[in-house]
Amino acid sequence: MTPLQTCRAILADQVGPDQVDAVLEHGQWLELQPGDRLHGDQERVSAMYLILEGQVALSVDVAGHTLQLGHLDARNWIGEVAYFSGSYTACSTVTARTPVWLFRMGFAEFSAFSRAAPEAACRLTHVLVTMLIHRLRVTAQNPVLDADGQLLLPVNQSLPEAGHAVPGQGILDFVRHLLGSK
Amino acid sequence: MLLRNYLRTLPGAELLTELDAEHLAAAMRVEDHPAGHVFVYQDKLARDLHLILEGEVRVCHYGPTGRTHTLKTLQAGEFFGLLSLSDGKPAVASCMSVGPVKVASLPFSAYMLLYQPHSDIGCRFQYVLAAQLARDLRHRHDMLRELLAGIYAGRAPSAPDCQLE
Repeated sequence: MTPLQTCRAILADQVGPDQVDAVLEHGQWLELQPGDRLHGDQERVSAMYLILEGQVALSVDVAGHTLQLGHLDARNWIGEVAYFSGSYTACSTVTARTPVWLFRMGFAEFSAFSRAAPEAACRLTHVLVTMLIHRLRVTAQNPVLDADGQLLLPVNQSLPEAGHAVPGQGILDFVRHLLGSK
Repeated sequence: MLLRNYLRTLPGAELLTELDAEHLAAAMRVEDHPAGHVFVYQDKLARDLHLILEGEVRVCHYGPTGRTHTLKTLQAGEFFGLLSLSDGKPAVASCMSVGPVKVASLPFSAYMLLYQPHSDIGCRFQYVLAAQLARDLRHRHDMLRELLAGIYAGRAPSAPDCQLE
């Protein structure tokens, strides 16, 4: 699958097949090699990213010391905390662990997308809400020291597969569709 | 203070219409509580979504070390009880008033209508939820940074103990 095909498949789950093009109009592609840093902890950021392929590591840094916060896999978003908290600063360092393909959507583009396609933006925001809930749960525990003396939170911050799609409503959805309402 | 007006001043509430705020305010009950009132118990399901109107609420986590520490002290304008209500799992922390508080509470059934993005009001409420959760996660990372700094500086973590009964 090409990155575009992968992106289409992921977005079809997250916003619905009919809204994929509305999202794609507002973003670009980005590739990272293992070890590449997307952004540093507390740096100013201007975009959120959907991981299409690969895995990134998350950490927080203080005065040269690092606390590993686990990792994120494909289908997860990065950067939504900076956007929705209104701070526009990264809350962790993001580094590629493997070759990574990303779909980049600038904050200004996300705002434009929300105005242009409110239904798709709302579905996507719901997916981001479920990701935030998952990350808050897994980071509630205390960090531990590993065998190398490295401080870490031994967690997978990726949302489990079932949480990525906006739930359908079966017959209710069908009736609403017939009546032309959401 | 009119609750419906206050709701529209909250982070992420820019898209809520006057009617949305009116419906939301009508579904919430406003109550005063004394210091030490526990709204949410760790490891139990939350029953309501709470919004602090006046006062402070402490979020306390009981960890595997047997110590209860403060994850966050919530201020007026902040929601709590979100995680447990949203994913139907027990709460990861307890929430207790620090002093006298005024809190607006939304029952679980009404919250579920807002949590799902299938209605217009639910759609617009997603941004309110995202704004609160993003602030919570940012704060969590700030705490982890403080913990990291404390460990390498050789001082005890600054998170105060909760006086949870």
